[in-house]
Amino acid sequence: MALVEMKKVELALHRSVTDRVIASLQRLGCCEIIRGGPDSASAEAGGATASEELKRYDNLLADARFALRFLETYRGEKAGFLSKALAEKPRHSMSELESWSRETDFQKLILHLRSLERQFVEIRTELSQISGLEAILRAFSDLPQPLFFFTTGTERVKGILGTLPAEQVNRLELAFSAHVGKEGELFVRISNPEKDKDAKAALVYLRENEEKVASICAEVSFNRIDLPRDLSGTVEEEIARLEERKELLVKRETDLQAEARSLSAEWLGRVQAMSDYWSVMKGRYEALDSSERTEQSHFIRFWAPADSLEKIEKELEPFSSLSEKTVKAPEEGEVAPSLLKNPAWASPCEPLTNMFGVPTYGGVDPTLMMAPFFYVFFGMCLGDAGFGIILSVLLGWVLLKFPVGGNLRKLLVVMFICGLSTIVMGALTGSWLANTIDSFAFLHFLRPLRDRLVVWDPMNDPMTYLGVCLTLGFVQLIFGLCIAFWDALRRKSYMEAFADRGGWILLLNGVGLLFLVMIGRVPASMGMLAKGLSIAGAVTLFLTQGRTKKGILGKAFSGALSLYGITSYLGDTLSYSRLLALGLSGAAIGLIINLLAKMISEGVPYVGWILALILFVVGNIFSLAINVLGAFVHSLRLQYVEFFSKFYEANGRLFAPFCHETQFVKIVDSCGQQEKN
Amino acid sequence: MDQVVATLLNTMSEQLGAMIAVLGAGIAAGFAGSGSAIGIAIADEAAAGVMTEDPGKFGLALLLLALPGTQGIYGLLAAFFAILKVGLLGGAAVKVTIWQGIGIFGSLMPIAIACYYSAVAQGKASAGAILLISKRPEEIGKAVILPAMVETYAVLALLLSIILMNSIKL
Repeated sequence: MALVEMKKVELALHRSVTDRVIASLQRLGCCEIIRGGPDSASAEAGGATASEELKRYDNLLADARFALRFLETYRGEKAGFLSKALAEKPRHSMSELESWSRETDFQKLILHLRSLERQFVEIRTELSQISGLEAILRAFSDLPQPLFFFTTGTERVKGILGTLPAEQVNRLELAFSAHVGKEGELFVRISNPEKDKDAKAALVYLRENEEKVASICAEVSFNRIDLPRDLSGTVEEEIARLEERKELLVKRETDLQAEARSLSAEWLGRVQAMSDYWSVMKGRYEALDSSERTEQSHFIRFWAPADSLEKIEKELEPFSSLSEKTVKAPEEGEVAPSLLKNPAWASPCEPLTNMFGVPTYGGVDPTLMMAPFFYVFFGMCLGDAGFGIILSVLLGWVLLKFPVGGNLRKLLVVMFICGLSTIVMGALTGSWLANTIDSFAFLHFLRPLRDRLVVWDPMNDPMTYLGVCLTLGFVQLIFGLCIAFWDALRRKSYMEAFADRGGWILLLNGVGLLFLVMIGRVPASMGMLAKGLSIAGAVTLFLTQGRTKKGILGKAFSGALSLYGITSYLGDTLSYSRLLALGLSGAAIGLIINLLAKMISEGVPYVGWILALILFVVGNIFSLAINVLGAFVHSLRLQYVEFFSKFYEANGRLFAPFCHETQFVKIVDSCGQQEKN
Repeated sequence: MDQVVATLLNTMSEQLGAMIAVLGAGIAAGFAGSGSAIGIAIADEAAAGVMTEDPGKFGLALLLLALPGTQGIYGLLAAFFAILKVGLLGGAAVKVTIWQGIGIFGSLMPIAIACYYSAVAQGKASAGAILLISKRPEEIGKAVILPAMVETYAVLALLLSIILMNSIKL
């Protein structure tokens, strides 16, 4: 239906033109290379150039990723997510990028960046060492001895620093005076006697007493702290020296950061462009690498939409003497990729279809059938003309102002159309930012204008509007069944068409009509027709639904049981009542906002109207956000769960053209659909 | 004594109806709000876990977190409708009998019960969906649909509450 017909093209090329042909195909961007993977024999035969090139570009890309990550960190202005997503990509041609890639000494830049990064790491490591050391030194801030006693010691004297449990201090003092006595000095300090569990201690002693000291230390669970050997002055001097060093390092870091920032300003754009170029080239060699080849030739197979064959033909014309092309239809058992094609008003919904699942090639593309329902349902769920105007104006502005492409653009267009639909549905139900027109006296003059457009009033008469919702739902369900009916006819499986789908279509229409007769919406004379339809449908189902079962009893039982399926159709129809509920909830939130705003503006003297205005604006923004999310999700769910389940087969694979796929720049000398985001 | 009883009966017939409706409104808003709070908290835990790995997932996680929040709004909404109906928010004075009050109370029960439980359940569904986008952020579309399946029943409850309330004529 709305899926593009695919052809399989097999292209045999002489080695001499392979590179140019594959570049052309990539530029066209309308072929999906079939990656067969070379068998080992052809890999040997074809020379390893493609694999080597592939490796080279892989390495370049790895470097580029490092450079981008580094440069991105030091980027001057931080772009927000939205402005990043919406910003226009710089345009470059392939030849320009190629000459950049050739002329730029990228390796030098990478080396420079790596050395910068190393320096940052070194500085940070040293800074954290210094702050650790400082913390230790500060704990011994009034140590009388200079530090060289504790690091290198002198010829005869040595010292150690450390901590010990506070309750062991007495033992240490006793033992030290007993064993070392006057031949040493002991310094003990508990900075905060109530809280600290550990005491700091410094022991200075003659080298000949070293063993004694060691055994004392072991007894009192002394925990020795080793200091770097280059500390020699007093604690205060050393702390001052460390501070000086720290200052120097911080300054050096700032200088390096400035350098990184200027590098980022200079190089980021260039590296982004080159990274894109390399990934394009990588794609090219990947395609080559996975194709079959012999010593003199390459054999490339790809899928292409039937309508672009002419374009491909034209592109390959210069190489016709050195290439040979055959075009085939997909063979039995081969699954061609699916490419969706729809009229402009429905095509923005394609991402929604693909999100559920890609249509099976040769099957039905539901986008066109879903789009009008989705737009209308969204309008009903949001259901407020004021919100509709805000939504469509905002998105219209974004669409005009920012040159976004790809799926993001489609999504924005969907929301824009949904906004328009919301205006219509809001006007039909008389909701303009809920009951704003009634709430504020200065807007009362708009009443007649509004009232002229109103068809339903779900606030005061929800039952009628519920009827509208359920009817729409019923129509969509029957429509879904009709599509399945038509699809089965097309595939010439008549039993499925008439028995499975036809039976239900008859039965459901009959029951629906019967219901209308019962509530008196349709003249009683239709009753006979309704009953006839119902019975015909039910009998069809009863007779056919057990057809795969064995034995008359099994058939009858399955046939009868299948009628129970009507409950699921009932459930599906009732599910559409959410259209009313969500529409009402939006309107009711608006009502409450207006009520509160009015109460404030009348109740608070002087500044009341300002507060009311703030409440009105903030409240409506909140309500808009939460209701847009709800409306989108629930109208999508109705398509996915209620509608798609009736006919849609989503076992396809999306057409992924071999093209200039880029992340940062737009390559301008290519035609076709390279605008993938 | 008789006089006390007479006054009691008198105020009962005057005010009890409206007050029963208020009780219903309180229960509806309270339970629905609690349900949403619990539901969001469940999803929050998953989101916090995911963000320890990748703080960039905040936006997507927030979208999924917000889903169990609607029940609280539905509860508030139904509560507002109820007190609006019994004339407690200004407008013309409305006379509500005890029986009508009980009716309004009853009409608020679907929202109170279904919103509480569906919000908690939706919180769990959202938490699952958040784990899904932590691995595959491109599947955000599907991830949003999953918790929305749960919300259906809160929406239906809201619908029934509004229809029931609308059908009680004062």
